[in-house]
Amino acid sequence: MSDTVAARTPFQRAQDRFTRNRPALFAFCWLAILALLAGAALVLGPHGYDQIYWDRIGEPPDLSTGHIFGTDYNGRDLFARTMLGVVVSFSIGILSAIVSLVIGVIYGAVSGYVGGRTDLIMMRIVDGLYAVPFMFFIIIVVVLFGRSIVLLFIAVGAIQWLTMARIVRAQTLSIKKSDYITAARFSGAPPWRILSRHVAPNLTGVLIVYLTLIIPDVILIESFISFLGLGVQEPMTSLGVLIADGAKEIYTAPWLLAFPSLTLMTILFALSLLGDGLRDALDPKSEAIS
Amino acid sequence: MTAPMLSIRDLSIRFGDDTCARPAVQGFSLDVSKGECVAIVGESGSGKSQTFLAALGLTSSAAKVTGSIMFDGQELVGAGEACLRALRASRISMIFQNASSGLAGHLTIGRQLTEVLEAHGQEAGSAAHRRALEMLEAVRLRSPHIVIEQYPAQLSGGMNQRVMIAMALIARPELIIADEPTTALDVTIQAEVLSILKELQAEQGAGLVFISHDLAVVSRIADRIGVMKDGVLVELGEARQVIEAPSHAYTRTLLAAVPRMGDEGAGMGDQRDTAQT
Amino acid sequence: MIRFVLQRLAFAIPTLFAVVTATFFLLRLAPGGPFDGDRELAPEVRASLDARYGLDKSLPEQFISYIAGLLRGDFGPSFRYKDVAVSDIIADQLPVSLTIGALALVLAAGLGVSLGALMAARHNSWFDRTSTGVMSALIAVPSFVTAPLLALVFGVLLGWLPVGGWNAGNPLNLILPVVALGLPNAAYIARLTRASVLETLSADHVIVARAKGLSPSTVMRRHVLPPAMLPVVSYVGPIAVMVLTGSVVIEKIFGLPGTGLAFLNGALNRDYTLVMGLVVVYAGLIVLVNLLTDLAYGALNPALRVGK
Repeated sequence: MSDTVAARTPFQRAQDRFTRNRPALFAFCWLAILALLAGAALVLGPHGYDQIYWDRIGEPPDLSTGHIFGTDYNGRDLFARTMLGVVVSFSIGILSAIVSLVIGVIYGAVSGYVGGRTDLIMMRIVDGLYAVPFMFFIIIVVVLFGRSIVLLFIAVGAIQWLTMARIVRAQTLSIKKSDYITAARFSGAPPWRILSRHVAPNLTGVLIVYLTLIIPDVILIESFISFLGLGVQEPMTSLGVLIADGAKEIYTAPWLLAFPSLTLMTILFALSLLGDGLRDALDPKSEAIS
Repeated sequence: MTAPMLSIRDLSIRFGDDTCARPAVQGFSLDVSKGECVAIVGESGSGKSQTFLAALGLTSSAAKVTGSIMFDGQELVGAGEACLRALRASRISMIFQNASSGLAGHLTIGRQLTEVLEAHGQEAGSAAHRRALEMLEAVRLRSPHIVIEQYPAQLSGGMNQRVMIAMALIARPELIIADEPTTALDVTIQAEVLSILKELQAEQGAGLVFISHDLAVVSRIADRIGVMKDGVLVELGEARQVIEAPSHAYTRTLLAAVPRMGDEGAGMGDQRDTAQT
Repeated sequence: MIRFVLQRLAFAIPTLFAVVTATFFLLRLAPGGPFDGDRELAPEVRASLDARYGLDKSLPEQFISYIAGLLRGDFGPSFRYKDVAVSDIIADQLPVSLTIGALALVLAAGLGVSLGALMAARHNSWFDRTSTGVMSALIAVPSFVTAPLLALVFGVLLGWLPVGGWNAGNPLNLILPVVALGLPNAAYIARLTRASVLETLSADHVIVARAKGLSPSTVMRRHVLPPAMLPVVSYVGPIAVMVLTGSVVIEKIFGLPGTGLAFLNGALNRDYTLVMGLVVVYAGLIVLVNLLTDLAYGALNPALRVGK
């Protein structure tokens, strides 16, 4: 019932609602600034992320030397490394989200659209997979098959698709019942055409919102794995690695923990505000659950 | 008749701070006496429900209520929460429209009935249970012993509406406000529920305010009828007089919309009339 | 009720079997083995080791004998620690992880639900707005950031609590890990509860409950919270799993001898049987948690139980 109405809600109106949401807008700007800053720092920054200053080992933040976040115990500029961490975390977040999006949307849409026995079996498989201890699964994969970023984001993406598949299936089911789909089917449109032309576009809103929920999850999982020493390897780094290293020096060099963790916190915080804002903008009726 | 039990004077209800917006209810005045049945008729959104929610202090926090509602010598507009709470269900009770969503799905029928008695320090324990059974019987539910252990989802809409009536009357209120109690029901069940309600009201000698959009239903039970349009009470009089000689054009429109038995082509002809008025 | 439980357990068996199978072959497919240590072993030593642990047999044979062992309740010997049974290691370390996990879960659920309900009851108040901000911040801080910070403040600066170690389950040693693990989840549950309670507060039956003259606390306790808990409960399952498995990090930071660390080291050492055993135990736990969640769901929602 509401789906048909929501589908016709002009994109413009969603945009208006979003720009009126100050915290969400602020969060969006912050993420954009951070991404640009990180990219610029990597390419144009005065300090390389793996450049070692032998005379400045473990120095606190100092504006005069240009190490605004200080240096680590290997004499590397923490600002450059933090910015690299931002780039790595963002890329892993976005790539994993895309992996889970692709698997989840195809799986969920097929399950919901075909329905019947197929749907039952496909959803039972998802239920079953929820019983897998995924943190352990990732550890096994990463430990056994080498510690590469690519593998990490595939592993994370491969577990995140479950919830996505459930959401897409539920949406597909409700869209499938709507009158315009019935009309399309009666006019003889083949199933793949109905799925791609009519069902998929109606999922966009939900998917965008869900993406903003997945990305912080993925960033968090990556940092957990990196914290355990299984993620990104030196001299590359991620926020999780920096925080893990910083936590070890918490008593002697607190800035090594403070800057990376503050950066991670602002990213996660901004993403959650952005997600709330997008949800309100794209689906004003839904209450903020989760 | 004696002095009115409920006396509403110049009641206005406004939503939000916007003073330009048209109020939901404006200048509403009405007296209800003991044992009397007053029906308030109007289309949805005409402010009839809000008026009486205000009497229980249950309008949403965004609503601004002005004017006066006197009940048994007590001012209810602006009264404290504790004071209103003591009145609710025990002296003024309300029967709501949609029983399936109005009953709590996770509590048994018995629990929902007895908690009213407990809240007002009336019967408790097995006495409350007995009283609940008595009420379920009074609303003519078959096998009340089973129903009392059941959940709303196990009962039909009509049965749930009877439970709602039992719940509203269990604490022996002096004034019953019935907000479209039969609208969601099938026509056959409607008549029975209506007669149960009327019977119980007469038995307890309570006042009854019957809110409805259906003049046909109302004409069967009301002593007096009020007609509301856009938040204003446009007509108020003896039931007979309102139905036979309505003074306001809107009342005539409503009357014209009522299909009469044996009235050839009632629908079509009446609709044409409606359009002309 | 009993039928429902049996049904769910029956459904869990193929799931557990699939998890065991997948893990078994995943482990064997990976390059490297338990005896590829730092130094090269003499071929005859290697062969005798392989024979001793059955690694000289074909993969399907190994798999069948492992499953047969599992059915007898035998997790096999550890590949890494000589003459130690995997079940002994698990029996040693599971209580540590379960204690921390269960306490953290209790903290998360208790604090989360009560705080969320309070925030919803005082909707839009100063308290609500501040708490919402604090909760969002807490969710955004990973436990491996809060944990060292907590250790720094309460362990080092104030010196109130020990900064790590198990110490035979001394309650003082438990406080910091439990708080670090429970806090972000408490914040998450509080947010869920708040949203759900707010939605329920405007439900028809709640207005009816108020019209009955019930006190605000009775309305909240009896009419609002039970139905509002439904969406929350459906999230508690995944949260419980996260808490139970997420303790790897907490165990590492606070130096606790739990299964999380055992798993990590087991995976790093290619201790196949230990890793397998832990996966089986955790998959079983997850099945159990999901079953409990379903039961709680039914208890809160009689309409589901009785059907229509």
